[in-house]
Amino acid sequence: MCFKNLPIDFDAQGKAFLRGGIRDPYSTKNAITSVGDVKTMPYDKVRELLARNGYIKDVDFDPVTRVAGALAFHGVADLENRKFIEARSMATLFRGYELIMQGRDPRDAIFITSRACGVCGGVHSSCAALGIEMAFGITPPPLGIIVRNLLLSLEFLYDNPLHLFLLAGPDYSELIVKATTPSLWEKAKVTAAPNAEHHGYTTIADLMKDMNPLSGNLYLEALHMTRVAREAYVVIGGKYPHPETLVPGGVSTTVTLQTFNEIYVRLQQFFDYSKKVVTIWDDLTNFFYDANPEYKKNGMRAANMVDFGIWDDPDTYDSSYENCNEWGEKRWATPGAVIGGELVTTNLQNINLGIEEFIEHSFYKEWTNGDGAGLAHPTDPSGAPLSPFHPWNKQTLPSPSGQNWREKYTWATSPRWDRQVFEAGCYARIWNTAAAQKIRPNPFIESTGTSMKICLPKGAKPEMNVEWKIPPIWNTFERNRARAYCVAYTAMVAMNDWMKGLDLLKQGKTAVATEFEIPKTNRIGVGLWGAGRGFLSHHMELDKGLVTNYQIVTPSTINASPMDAWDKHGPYEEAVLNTPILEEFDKPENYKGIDLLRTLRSFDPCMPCTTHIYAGEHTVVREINTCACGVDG
Amino acid sequence: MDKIRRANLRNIRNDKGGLARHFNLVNNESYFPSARVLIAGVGHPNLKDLSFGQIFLAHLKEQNWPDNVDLENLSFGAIAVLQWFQDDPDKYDRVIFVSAAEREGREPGTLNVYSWDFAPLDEEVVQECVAESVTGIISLDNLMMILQYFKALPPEVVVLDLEPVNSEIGFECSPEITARFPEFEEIVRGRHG
Repeated sequence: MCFKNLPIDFDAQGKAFLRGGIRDPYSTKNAITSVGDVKTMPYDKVRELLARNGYIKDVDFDPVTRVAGALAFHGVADLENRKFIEARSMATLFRGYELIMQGRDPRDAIFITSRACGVCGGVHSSCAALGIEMAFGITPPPLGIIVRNLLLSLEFLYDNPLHLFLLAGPDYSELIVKATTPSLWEKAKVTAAPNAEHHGYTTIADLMKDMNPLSGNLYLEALHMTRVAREAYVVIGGKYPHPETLVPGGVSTTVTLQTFNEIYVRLQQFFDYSKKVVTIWDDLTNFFYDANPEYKKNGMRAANMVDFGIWDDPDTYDSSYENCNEWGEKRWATPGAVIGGELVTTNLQNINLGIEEFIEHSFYKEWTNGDGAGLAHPTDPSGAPLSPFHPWNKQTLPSPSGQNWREKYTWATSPRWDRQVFEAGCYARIWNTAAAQKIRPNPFIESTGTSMKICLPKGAKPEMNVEWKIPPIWNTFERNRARAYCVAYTAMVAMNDWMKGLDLLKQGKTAVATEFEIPKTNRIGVGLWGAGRGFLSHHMELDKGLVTNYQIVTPSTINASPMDAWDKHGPYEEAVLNTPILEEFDKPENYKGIDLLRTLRSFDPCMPCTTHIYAGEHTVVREINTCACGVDG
Repeated sequence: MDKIRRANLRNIRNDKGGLARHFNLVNNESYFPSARVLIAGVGHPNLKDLSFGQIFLAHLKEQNWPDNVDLENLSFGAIAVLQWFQDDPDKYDRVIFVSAAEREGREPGTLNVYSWDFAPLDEEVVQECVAESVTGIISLDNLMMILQYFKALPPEVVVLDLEPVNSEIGFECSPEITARFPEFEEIVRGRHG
């Protein structure tokens, strides 16, 4: 029984059915039980304080969008009591890939939806391919699945180091730490780095110096590593970030022993790099905790996170919805929903059933009358009940209006699982996989139930075993630490896939794609997949060979979501509301907002935008780097 | 940030003849016999005039050029382009970038031709350029500042920077801009003015 709020029960065989005796089972007026709620001050009370208290400040992130999209953030800070009393996350641009896809050949989705993101377009391409395969009833040959897995891994090996050292990393650099918390910098200078033998930095200050933007060696090394991953990617993807070789039923590239060799010479560079990355982020995290335990509250939330899992097993994956639980649990990343730190299901069908999108605070019109009557899909293809708010039933009906903090204020929707606020991230996949203990036997990765053990092979550095442990608290620092371990995890998943691919080549199983015809009958399909930032789904309906509905739920939509039908804050909002202000400043106009920025960046938001922090008459110009895929609505 | 960036573009000149006076361009081998020249297009695709960098480069590629001239589409992200230059740092003596951008206060159809002045850069702005570039933004301004900061530009850099007439979705430039391709080509060849 994984649902506490949705009206879904299960029979003795585990088959889901709609609970009886409820007049309007999916009504948003029904009460919910939520884990990790945050209490906030009434809107009018905040306005009153703003008017009369000099230490209560609007802290607005005002976006300047250049090309792709924008995220903005409105907060109210109590600089005297050093906390935030109001938070609103805004996606300020509507792009509407869902509308662009309507009436098109489904194969176009692979190329069109890729453009939803300038960092990780390939994940959308492969997610679209998975959905099409389900709708068409086709399965790629084993080597096609392996190549797709490798593409995904290489994309993450570009993406995660980029975030850790180019985007979030500078927040932990000498330049920023010295400017925002001088006392912390003094401590860093005299604090030995416990993992010096692995990463080469004697003190925490030495480490922070090399995280300085543009000049620090860790920054420059990350720039170089993005190239290494990108080069490996284009060997099989053709180009990056929008691959040319992903097709329904596999890939359209020719794979040879040489291809695998070209990938390996690049992939193996991540073995040593991973040893450095995980030890750096272990040392940074522990330093902040030791220096001031209040940092444990930075970006704190209940550990609610959902992920569909990724990296299919070529011996199990058949693309069908009917068998999705079997092939889902065979993925290198186990599907899972974690609520309050507990893994409540690894069943891919249940994870899909639990997803709903709400638009009470978003610039969209309601598409259902709330009672579920006349639903396009009252059940999923296996007969389990589907909410009117489920993506297979959702329609995208944009309805722009004026921004109002109490009512509608964003183009992002509010995706929820079992009506709970959850977050998405690569950390969800390492958490699920560590807790589930379902990972297939392999030489490199072990799931213990409370941790993931990763064996990093010998490179220039000796073989090293690292272990990511499920943390007792969930916050800004643990997001970044888990992301660092995801670099190691991803590299070794890629190594497993590389070895399997080589084995298939040796067996002469060189086919990478399967033939298909576009069915003309009504079909539904879904790609249940993941981006560098976690959770990604493409739900689609086809008729007469064309797309009739297409719904994308992205990680940045989830994390940047506004309040929902029950006025529960989205993850960014909640994390900021829980963040203490630890920055050192003598007067409000010198406040820079580093604690809030660290919190937001720890989610790896993904939508290029420039952000102006406004604190009274003092304006600070800073940038948050987020993905355009958060604004698809 | 745009203001700071525009300050870095202060060498903009509207007098196209000025270009010919200051730069003896690519096909004048007697003047610059050993010059290795790169003509590079920069921009997003499929946005009509905003894709001028790519579309005009394709036009130029159909023309005849001396052996010392290469033509490349450098629209694959500023960091990747930086690494491309770093692979062979002394390959070119001169680069001519062709691109388009929507700039405040500039008349549609204006082509600014200017030499890059290598003025000192604000590091915070460069960092923003890097962050935008690695997250998918293709921009001439980002590219120029990143290439300068990391010392990847050759000694002479010329920029042809167009204000779009039409930036809607489309594979070709607007008829107004397309009709001027021969004129723009003459500028690149250094025959104008």
